Amino acid sequence: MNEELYISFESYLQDEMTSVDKIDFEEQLTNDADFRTQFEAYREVTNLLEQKFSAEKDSFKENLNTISETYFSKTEFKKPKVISFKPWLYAAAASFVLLMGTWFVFQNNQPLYDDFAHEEAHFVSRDGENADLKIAQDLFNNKEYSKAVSVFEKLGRDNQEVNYFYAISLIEIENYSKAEAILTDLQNGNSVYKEKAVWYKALSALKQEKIDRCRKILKEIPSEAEDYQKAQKLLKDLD
Amino acid sequence: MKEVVVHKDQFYIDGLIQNDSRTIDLIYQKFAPKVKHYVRTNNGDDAAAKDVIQEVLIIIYNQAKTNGLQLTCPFDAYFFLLCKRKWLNELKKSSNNTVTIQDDSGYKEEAAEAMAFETEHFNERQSLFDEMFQKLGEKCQEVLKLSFVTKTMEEVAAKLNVTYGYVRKKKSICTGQLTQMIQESNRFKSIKN
Repeated sequence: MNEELYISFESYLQDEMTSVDKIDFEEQLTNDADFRTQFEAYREVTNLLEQKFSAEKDSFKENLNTISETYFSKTEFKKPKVISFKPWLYAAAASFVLLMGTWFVFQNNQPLYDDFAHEEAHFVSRDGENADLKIAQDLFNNKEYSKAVSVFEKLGRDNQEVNYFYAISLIEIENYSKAEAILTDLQNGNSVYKEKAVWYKALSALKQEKIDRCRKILKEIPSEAEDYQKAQKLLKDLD
Repeated sequence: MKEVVVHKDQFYIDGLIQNDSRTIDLIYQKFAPKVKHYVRTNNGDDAAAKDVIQEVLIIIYNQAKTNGLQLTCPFDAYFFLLCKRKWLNELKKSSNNTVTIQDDSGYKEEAAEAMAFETEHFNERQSLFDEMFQKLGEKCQEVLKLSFVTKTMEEVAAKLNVTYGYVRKKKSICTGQLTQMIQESNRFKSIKN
């Protein structure tokens, strides 16, 4: 076994080489196919080791398991529901509809941000894995947005899901420009939050009572987006 | 290096890497029904489909985390192929190939085939790696494990009560030894070809 070789691989990967050694090393990588193959193998084993002992992997598995359980329990045992609708309920239902109708007539016609903004954060699958994340999640779900914002500010910005909830919290505390900057980043990125970001941009405009802007943004939401139906409803309500 | 055109479905892979619940949920909503149907029509039940899906997602996650994964075909085609072949393997294992399989013949997409092949290949290497890791000496296993769960090599040295220089050298040599054991195993040679 060539110990010197492995030691040089390691110091290259750890970026601990002097610049002269590094240039030599990289030159050999380009010119010597055998050397390159050896190095690539060493690097993959290093990555596999990192993955083997990664705590993130365990929380991924747990999260996956939860989602899988939920999905399969929902679809596996779906039985047709038998509802016995008793006649007197018709009367009650009818008067309820009447009541609601009257109530709506007396309501302000303008749809409100709070009618449409309903999000709950679930980005922590396990307690203690990331304490700040858990705190931010709980604060968000308890609608303590300004406190949530100060926790979000401390967190890194590489998690799109976290950024999404950060932006919503900012809208809630009326820091619109910052919120919209984050939403624009999400919109330009490529995650499931791409189109959801547009939806929240529209809601941000609604909250600021910029109705024309809101309408314009809503029209950008494509029909395959998750929030399309809600966007259409809001558009209708705005007219 | 060949220029790779990344498919727009890459966000599923990125979401998996980030352990993003909404992405994982979306994968189940959109792609699990097809897998369920396939397993059901081929001597399996929902519980089997559930396991297949979960195992395939873990393999994809591991590959993406370890070596990076750039999707060059629709996620649907790639994911379904992996699930399908995983299930066919399970069937072969349990019944010595006496079951009849309904193949949805005609459906072949080259890019998806190539991607699925690469992922299966990675999975083979990873399981060989796991097997070889168990065969490493105890000291090597300990040093390697500590190097990856401890923040700095200085801390590792302190925990093992040795010098920093020693622990660094030991880590390189143990990783090298493991690399060599993998390459020299017969299984590696059969995967390679």
